[in-house]
Amino acid sequence: MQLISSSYFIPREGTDFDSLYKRVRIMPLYSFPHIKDMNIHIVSHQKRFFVHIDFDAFYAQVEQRDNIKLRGKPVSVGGTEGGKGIVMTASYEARAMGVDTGMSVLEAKRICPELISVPCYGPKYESIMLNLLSALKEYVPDDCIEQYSIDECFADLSGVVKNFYEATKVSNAIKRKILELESLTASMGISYNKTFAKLATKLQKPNGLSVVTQENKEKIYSMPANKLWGIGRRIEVRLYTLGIKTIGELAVANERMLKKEFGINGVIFRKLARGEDTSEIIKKEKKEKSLNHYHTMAKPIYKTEDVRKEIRRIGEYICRKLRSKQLTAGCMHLSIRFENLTYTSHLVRLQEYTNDDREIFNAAAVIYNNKLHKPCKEMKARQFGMGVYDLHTDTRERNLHLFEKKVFLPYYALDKIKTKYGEGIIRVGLES
Amino acid sequence: MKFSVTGDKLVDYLSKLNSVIPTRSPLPILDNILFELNGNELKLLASDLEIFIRTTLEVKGEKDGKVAIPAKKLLEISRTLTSAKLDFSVNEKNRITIKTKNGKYTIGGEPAEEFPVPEEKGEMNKLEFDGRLLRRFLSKVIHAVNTDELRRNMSGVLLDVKPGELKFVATDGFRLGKIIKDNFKVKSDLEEKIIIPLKTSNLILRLNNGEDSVIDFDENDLKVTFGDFEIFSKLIDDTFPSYENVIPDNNDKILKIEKSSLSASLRRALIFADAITKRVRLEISNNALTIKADNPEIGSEGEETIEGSFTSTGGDEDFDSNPFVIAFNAGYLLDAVSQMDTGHSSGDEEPKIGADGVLIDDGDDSKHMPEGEINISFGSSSKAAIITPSEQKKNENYIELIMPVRVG
Repeated sequence: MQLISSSYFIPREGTDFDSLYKRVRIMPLYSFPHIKDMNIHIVSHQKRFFVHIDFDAFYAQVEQRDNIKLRGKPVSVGGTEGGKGIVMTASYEARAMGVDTGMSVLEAKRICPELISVPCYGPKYESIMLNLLSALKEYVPDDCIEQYSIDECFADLSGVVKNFYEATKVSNAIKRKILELESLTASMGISYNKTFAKLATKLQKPNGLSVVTQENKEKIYSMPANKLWGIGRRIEVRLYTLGIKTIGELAVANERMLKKEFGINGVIFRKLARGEDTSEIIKKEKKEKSLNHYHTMAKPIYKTEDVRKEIRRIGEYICRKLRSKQLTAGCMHLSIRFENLTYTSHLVRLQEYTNDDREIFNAAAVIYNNKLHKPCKEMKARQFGMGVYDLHTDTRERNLHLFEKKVFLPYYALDKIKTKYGEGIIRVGLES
Repeated sequence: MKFSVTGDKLVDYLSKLNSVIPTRSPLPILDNILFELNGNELKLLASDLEIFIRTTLEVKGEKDGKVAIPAKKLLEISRTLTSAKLDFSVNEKNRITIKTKNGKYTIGGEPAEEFPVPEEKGEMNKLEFDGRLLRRFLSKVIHAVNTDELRRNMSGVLLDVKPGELKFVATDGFRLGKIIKDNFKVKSDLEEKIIIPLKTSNLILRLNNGEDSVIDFDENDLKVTFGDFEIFSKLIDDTFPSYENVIPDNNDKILKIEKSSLSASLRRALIFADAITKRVRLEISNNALTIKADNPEIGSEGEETIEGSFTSTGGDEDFDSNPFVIAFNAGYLLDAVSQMDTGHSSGDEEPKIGADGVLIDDGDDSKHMPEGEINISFGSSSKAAIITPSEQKKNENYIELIMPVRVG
């Protein structure tokens, strides 16, 4: 994979694009191992070495790296200047003051008045992760690397190391590489299965490296059960009523009782806690079936002009995404969510498979004009969403049109320019 | 209401009306067919609110009346009783009882008053079509109609009529079909353009088996009458693109090629082309056409060469040393080529069919042979190609236009 510079998505100041690219995916790409991911032929992994890499306070660390003024100060990422939104990541300085992920920015500022809240800028973090993934290829083959979320990944070292000592050596090398490449620190956990590797990371943070072997897994057993993936607040409460508070207690709990309470997931929780996670590196399915993008406005809008602008931005974003994956789309939908959370949406088949900004915008405009309820002063729109489906590899062939003397814009070249000089450097004008 | 009718007769009409009944309708009454009895004349009406179909059939009537009967149920039961005589009677609570020799069936109907009826307009423009002309003209161009929701002005067939001339045109922006009838008799001052929606056009094709037809229309509505049927439809209230200026008149390179071998080759090429773009490459030399298709994604490739003569009117270019190359969507090309009438067989004449339903061979082979040549003319590899039959019919001019695919 080609290295993408971290400045890849940084827009020039004062352009409309500033707000467009400040979105981030906080959902993990995958959930905890499913029964179908497990290898049922073995009880637990023998002689396997997994390493889990997790950036420390990722977004906050990146922002502190890029802005000297933020270093050493409590920083939270997410939300807007006005205090709306939530804290996505808090720096360690802020965490010490009690600021936590998921808190509203207002609340965080109450707890920690000197907190500096900076907006979140997803694509930058994404590109850092992509750089890490490509750097990892120096140490392990491509199919032994799994991106788990925007700041976490797994690598299966079993093919390249013989024991935990060697695994630690390789991990330290990776750590130095990250520092050298991105000037960022990450915590790592090494263990004989993915679950314990992930848990091991939590043992020492920040900038830590922990090893959990068959012999010293008691370290894990004392951790609270909610640290295990798949166990959230609600399941934690249900476990508590069964008398289970720690991972160790979960590991020795009665399997039938867990099955009765949680179904097959109960069995999996117990297996994970016992270190019997036999799941392997999961490679993301290469073929996308759809691409979606939703944007919630900081300030709800209703004027046709603003709506058109917003639709155009989302369309451009989606098309750029399509092109970055060399795809064209045959179907698209546009949806609007209003202030009262009611929802309107419509799906159309496009006349031709396309990833052309103008085609998608025109189609979206037709949907907006003819098929959707329109926002008004009394009922403003707070979220716009667009999705493209029926994706197909872009053959870069276009059937010429009888009535529209279209200029075929060199979109791929434009994307390259944007990559190099920033999003706002060049835009496609509209005829109308 | 009380009448009797034979099963097969009723099924015949019901199944034709069924084609307009929406599968999922916001208005439940539209799941019904409106029955209206007047003497021995039974009128059936079905609708999806955009289109209404009304048909009239002869029955043995006893008592007049009207009721809306659930179409699906009625069709299901009549299909199993095709040979039987069905006695219908409806009571004042709109319950329909159907009696046969051995059975008695009851279904609940809906009050006739709830069923929407088409608006009958007084003075409308009138066009009369003889025999199969309407059917033939529609079927020639309908394949080019745009099917997406985004370009409404192209999602129908344009009927353009002026004194002495009738035109049917359809396009989706990538291809265009146009057929003109000269010497068409209309009221001397009638000069109108209407766009008939695709669904209505398809219905006409499905229901009309060559009966003389009358089209009544004004700005918004259309009424087509033929045989026992009347179709009421809205027109597309949009402007059809100005197609005349996109038809090139200086295509100087002409390929004469046998239709059957070209369409067979294209069918095979489609198998090897990309499933979405369907792009094929044509390389034309003086005496041969090479069709190349490939799909790099799955690694398939196909190539065929067929005979044909290629000449340039502009000068004597040598295409052997420098073949003319152009790419098309093979699906579009095949659609257009298949519509071409070739040889001496006339599309106006249907093959003769004997009483036993077997085709009668009257000795003239050319009538039923699909053999024959078509002409394809090209300008450059980024200009529209025009496909025409090698010989136009009397008083007729039919062309198909296809835009090439730009590669790169």
